[in-house]
Amino acid sequence: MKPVRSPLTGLLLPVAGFAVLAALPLIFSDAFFVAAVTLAFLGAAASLAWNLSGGYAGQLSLGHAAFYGLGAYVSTILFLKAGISPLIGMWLGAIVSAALAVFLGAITMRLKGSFFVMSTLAFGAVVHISAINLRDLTGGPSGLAIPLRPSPENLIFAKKLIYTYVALVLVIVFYAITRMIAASKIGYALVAFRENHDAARALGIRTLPLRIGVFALSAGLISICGTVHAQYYLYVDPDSVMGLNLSLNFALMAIVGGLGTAYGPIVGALLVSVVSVVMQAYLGDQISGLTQLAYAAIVILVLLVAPTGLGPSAHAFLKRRMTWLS
Amino acid sequence: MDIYIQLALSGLFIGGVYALISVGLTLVFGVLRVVNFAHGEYLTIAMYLTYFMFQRVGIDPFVASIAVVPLMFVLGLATERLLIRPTLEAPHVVQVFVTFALSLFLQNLLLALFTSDFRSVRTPYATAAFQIGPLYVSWLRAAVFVVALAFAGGLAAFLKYTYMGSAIRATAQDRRSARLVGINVDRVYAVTFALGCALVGAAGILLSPLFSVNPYTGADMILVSFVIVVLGGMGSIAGAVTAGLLIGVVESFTGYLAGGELKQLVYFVLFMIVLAVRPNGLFGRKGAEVMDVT
Amino acid sequence: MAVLTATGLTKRFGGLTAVKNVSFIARPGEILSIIGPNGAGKTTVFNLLTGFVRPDGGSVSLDNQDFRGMSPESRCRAGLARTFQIVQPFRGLSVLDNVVMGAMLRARSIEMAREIARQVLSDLDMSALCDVPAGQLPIGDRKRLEMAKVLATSPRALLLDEVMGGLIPIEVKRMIDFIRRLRERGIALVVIEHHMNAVMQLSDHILVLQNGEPIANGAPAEVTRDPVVLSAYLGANFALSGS
Ligand SMILES: Nc1ncnc2c1ncn2[C@@H]1O[C@H](COP(=O)(O)OP(=O)(O)OP(=O)(O)O)[C@@H](O)[C@H]1O
Ligand SMILES: [Mg+2]
Repeated sequence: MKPVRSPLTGLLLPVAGFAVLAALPLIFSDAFFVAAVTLAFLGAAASLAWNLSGGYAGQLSLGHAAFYGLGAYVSTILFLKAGISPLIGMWLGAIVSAALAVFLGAITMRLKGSFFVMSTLAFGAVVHISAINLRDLTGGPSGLAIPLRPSPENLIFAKKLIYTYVALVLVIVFYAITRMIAASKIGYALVAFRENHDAARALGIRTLPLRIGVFALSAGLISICGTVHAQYYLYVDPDSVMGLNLSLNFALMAIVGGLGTAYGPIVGALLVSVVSVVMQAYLGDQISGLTQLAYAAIVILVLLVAPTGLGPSAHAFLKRRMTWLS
Repeated sequence: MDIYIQLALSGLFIGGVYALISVGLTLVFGVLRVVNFAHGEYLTIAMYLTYFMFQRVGIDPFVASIAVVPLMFVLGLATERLLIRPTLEAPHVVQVFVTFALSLFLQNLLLALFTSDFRSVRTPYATAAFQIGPLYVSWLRAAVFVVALAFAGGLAAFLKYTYMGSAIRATAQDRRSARLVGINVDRVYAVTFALGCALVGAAGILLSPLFSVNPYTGADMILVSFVIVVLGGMGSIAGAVTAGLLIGVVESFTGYLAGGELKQLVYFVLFMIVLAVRPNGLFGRKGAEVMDVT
Repeated sequence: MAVLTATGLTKRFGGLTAVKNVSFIARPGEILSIIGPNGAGKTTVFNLLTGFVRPDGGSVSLDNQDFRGMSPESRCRAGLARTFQIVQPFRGLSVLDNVVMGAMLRARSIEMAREIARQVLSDLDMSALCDVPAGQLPIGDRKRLEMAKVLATSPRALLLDEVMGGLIPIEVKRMIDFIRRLRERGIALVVIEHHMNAVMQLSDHILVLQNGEPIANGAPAEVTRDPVVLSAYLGANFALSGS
């Protein structure tokens, strides 16, 4: 919450961090690693988007995969049926998602805690089931394939590495947006709501329009990630872009890394992909479920031992160490 | 006409099991104020236990319940001790995601152990039926219905007539006062959570001869249970039973009229409408669910 | 300068009438104390004034603005602020950020809000606590933080609900001085307090509630001579603490 006033942590550290991230796929240029890094970046971007509403305002949505999927479907359908470039479709998808988020928010933003969570679960399920059943539009359960016609204007690249940097750009932009909001009155008001609703009201802080607005922004941004997902895989199907597990993962990455911090989702996403790379390297695909099993165990441990997330906990630990030493 | 009665009947029968699943969830919420998002996995575990007892040892599901229900109770006690109690005072996000992570953990544990293959318990009496007038009634489904309601009734009696039951009800009303009159609230929490697991375990046993099981079975079922619990009013057992039966019938009709996939759509939309219009449920008291906002 | 007026406030909770026909006027630069035994309905009066609880009857206005139907947020924006008897800090945030939340109301940017917050904290001798997480404060400091948060909203009328509860004597003395300074700034003050000594030192007027009903209303000297009050509430204790 407190703005990082020293230029070192405020600007230099993030810039250095992003430079390291940018170098990652060059150092580990093996296709397997590039794929892992790309997915980590895309996950980080999506989780950053989720975190705007889920982390700062504490609106724990588990329906965000619906917006992610909408981004994937809207741009893909427009591209396949009308030849509209995904570069445009991406924005249309974002607008559709944001509009839907405003509608959903207007209904659900007065629900407390778990009731809000359940309402977003149901919303996610409704959109998911609709995508499966609107066969003419979505291709049903088997999904839609995008023909490989590489060109920047189609947002299709033969070299997978380019997607890595597209995803990294999203991460950097979303990070910057997060920092801006967090340091503004809007960000403070959201945090006030999250921390203590009555206290916020007693101080004249009006949050409903802000919460709905940030929910819509969050939905729009995550929808853009969905479009990039579609272009990366050149394939969209309901389970892989709208499943509940996807929503859960957006949230868990932010929670593991540090909920309501700008860097948390990035830390979380990287950690998740390290776990999955390590598990796959050691175990291969012999037994399905092991990677997710390890991941779930880590999440539980983090929640019990470092409930504010790894980033903030490490920070607090270091600070205690420093004051000790001095 | 007969087909509608038949539909209503089969919906009612399955609704009995839904009710039993939901009673556990609503009880835990009413007392601990925690929504157990891993509730469905306990259903799955109970179904696997029943399956293996049947397959390996040849014990009939109805008999297996004598062992499975207590096992689920113990599993519930362990879960409460390890994950729920340490997070009761934690921020809301921790409470929500600890049970979600548990759900993910259990699903994948089952996946690693048993793969995603479907397994079914095939009892010799699965297809036996009797006839009342124009209606065909499956012995098995009728028995499942009766046993499910017997469990729910047993719970109600337990809450009403035992000391622990009164303690649970008192704690649900007001945990601070409960503590003041000397109720061991920690024990109440443990027993309540374990009861929730035992009840959903019982539901799992009853579902075993009807449905095959894989690691995702519970997760698929549990969404219905959220609908039921909210519809009945969070924390209300009578509400959960009524709403369970109601949803069973609604599902049966929409499945027939609109097709299997759309029936889910119907009750999720119904769910959203209830949350928007009457978040305290059709029968619930107003309270924990909405805040004043501007 | 603002005048806070309550007229005929009434609130029932089920069968219990928690507040019954309470009226008063709080003027700028004056302190009105509301006293009464536990459960008399004092906090409920504050909840009615600030809009956290909807009245069954009566009205509230600040200057000539009728508050009917207004949310707590809007009332605070109009200049009526309150503290909570059970303090409501933003636990996870630093003391400074807690106060910034209040200061945002009158500040265009977070930078400005932070300036205001620092000023308020320094007025309350809390500058040293700026970076401490609010959840880690001892009770005395929490009460002061509760004050700091609302003061940062620059209220015209301020409701203080037992801000001295749990304070040690030296802290009480400082709080009394501080509240006097607020009065000098021309804020209309309504104070709920069990601490009779403080009440006698501070009050320009006293309103006594019992079972939700006003049983006396007037200057401290009048109220303390009122036989109804003496028998109903103050009793022998008062003679001790008032001396
Ligand atoms: N939200 C509520 N619902 C039901 N009853 C309430 C509610 N708020 C207050 N009450 C009841 O109204 C009565 C007055 O309570 P209130 O808190 O206003 O008293 P008080 O004068 O502030 O007491 P204290 O000195 O202990 O703070 C009490 O009997 C209380 O139990
Ligand atoms: Mg009070």
